[in-house]
Amino acid sequence: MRRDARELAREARAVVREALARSHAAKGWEALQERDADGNAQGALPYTDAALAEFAAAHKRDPDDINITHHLAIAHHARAWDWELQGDARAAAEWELALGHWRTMVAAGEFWAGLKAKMLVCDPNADTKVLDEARRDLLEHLLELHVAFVRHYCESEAPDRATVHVGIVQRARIPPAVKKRLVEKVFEAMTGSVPDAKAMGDFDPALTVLERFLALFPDYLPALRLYVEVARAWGATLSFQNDWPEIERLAERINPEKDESEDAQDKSPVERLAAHPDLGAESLARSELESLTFELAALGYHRGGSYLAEAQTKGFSVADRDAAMAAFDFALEWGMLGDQFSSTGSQMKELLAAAHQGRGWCKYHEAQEVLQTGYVYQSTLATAARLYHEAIAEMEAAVNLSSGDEHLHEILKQLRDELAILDLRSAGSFFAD
Amino acid sequence: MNLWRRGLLTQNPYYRTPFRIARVPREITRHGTIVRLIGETRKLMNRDPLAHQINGSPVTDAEINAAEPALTDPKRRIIEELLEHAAEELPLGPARKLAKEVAEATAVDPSEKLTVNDLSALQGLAQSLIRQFLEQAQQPSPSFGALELEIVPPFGQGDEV
Repeated sequence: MRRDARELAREARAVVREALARSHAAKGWEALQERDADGNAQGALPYTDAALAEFAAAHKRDPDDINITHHLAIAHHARAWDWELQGDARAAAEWELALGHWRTMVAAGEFWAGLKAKMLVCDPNADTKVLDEARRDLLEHLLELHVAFVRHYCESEAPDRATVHVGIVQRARIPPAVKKRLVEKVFEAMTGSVPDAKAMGDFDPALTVLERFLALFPDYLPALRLYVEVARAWGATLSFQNDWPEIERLAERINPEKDESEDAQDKSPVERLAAHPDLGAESLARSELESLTFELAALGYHRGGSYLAEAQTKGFSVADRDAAMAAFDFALEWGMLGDQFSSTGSQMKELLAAAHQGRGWCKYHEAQEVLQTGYVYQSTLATAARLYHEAIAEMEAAVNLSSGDEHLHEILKQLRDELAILDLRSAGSFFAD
Repeated sequence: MNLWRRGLLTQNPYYRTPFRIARVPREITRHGTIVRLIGETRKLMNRDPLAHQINGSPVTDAEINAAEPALTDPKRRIIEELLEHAAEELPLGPARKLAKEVAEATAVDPSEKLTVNDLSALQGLAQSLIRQFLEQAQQPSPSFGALELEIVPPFGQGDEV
């Protein structure tokens, strides 16, 4: 049946519009062709700037045309890859643009249905499950490429470029389970060298690698655990007698003291691990943290103890006493951090008790110095009494922490007795004055 | 298998796809045609190892050997299509169809050729032309009588028949 002129004109308009839209795709395809010296087409290149412009124009006209999206996905991804290899900074944005097009492809059922139909044309008995799997894994496979670049740049010591790819993985809109798998792969890629470095005693670079990873994934438990493990191994090689400055640097590095200007939320790796919600279920991480804190607390205690031991023979200078106090403080700081993860009656509690006792002896020695000044004024006696009180408080803390140490009780009794005598002298001095 | 992680990271996988290496268009699905095209590519390369190049670098035997199973196994081949542009051509089919339909609609049927049976509508025009002719004609000299003895054709011819 013949159609009237109006109907034909309407269809003509539609045909022309379609031709105009599709002509961009056709021109894009032409612009992809690699040609020989005579201008004969040899095959399509993955992209050319001209082709990309045509495909972009076609996409603008018809954003739902999945075939055009496929051209764009291929072309942008290929160009991103070239730019990456050339060190062109535009690569990062180009990768993400391409990923956006690939994400559209994954969602486009018609595209996959078309491939299935084509597969069945190739082989009517073919199992098209392979396409379902390809569709399911496509984004993860694309992002694995960025994990590979992370590894590549970590190995070639280009951490900034690795960070760009980590950012791409972090920003990718993918299911949490997939992202978790990818983060695990990034962790392996970035920190793969750490176990060897630790075994070789290269602790500083090993910690640097982990700090780089933790700057990107601050709460990633395996990284925090490995960080603590390396720090503990490093601490275990250090001597409180010969390496104290290095011990202090290590401690400051893994758990820096914060000044008021710093954000209280900005936690150190050690603090993050200590406060990690999954730490309870991670016995290995908890054990590593306890070991590290014990290791450092013990180093501090032994350093303080060595000053006290020397004081028995050669006297206790003010500098030595201050150094001993600082060492006992160091032991207490780390010991208290680790005590959160220690069982009652553990070695950590004994160490804390010993550090308190050490501080108590320092206070006692200071009180003795004050009393030995020769001129016993009311103010001098008051200072000595204050120091006795402080020493007694430390010894009481030690008694509370230790598991029934009789010797400590005797020391405490002796200090209290001496304080009582001092109080009497103070009263006598008051009346004498 | 991850398509993007098959080769070295430093090699962009979009250039040397099995389709491009074997010179098999993505649109070809028949096994026999694929095998024939691969054979032709091999012959071309045997004749001149530099004849088949991609992005300035010749295709090697190893590459074509690897491309063949990737294209002849439907499972692998269909996955390879993800990295390959589909051919595009101007959508002339609908335009041709429409043009044909329009041509058919406007074509004149020989059996319906226009015939003129009544010329009366031309009478007015004819009279006007006659009047114009007579007015512009040379006037006769009163000394010698009429110039013409008969009406100049075509007028008057009808009267003779």
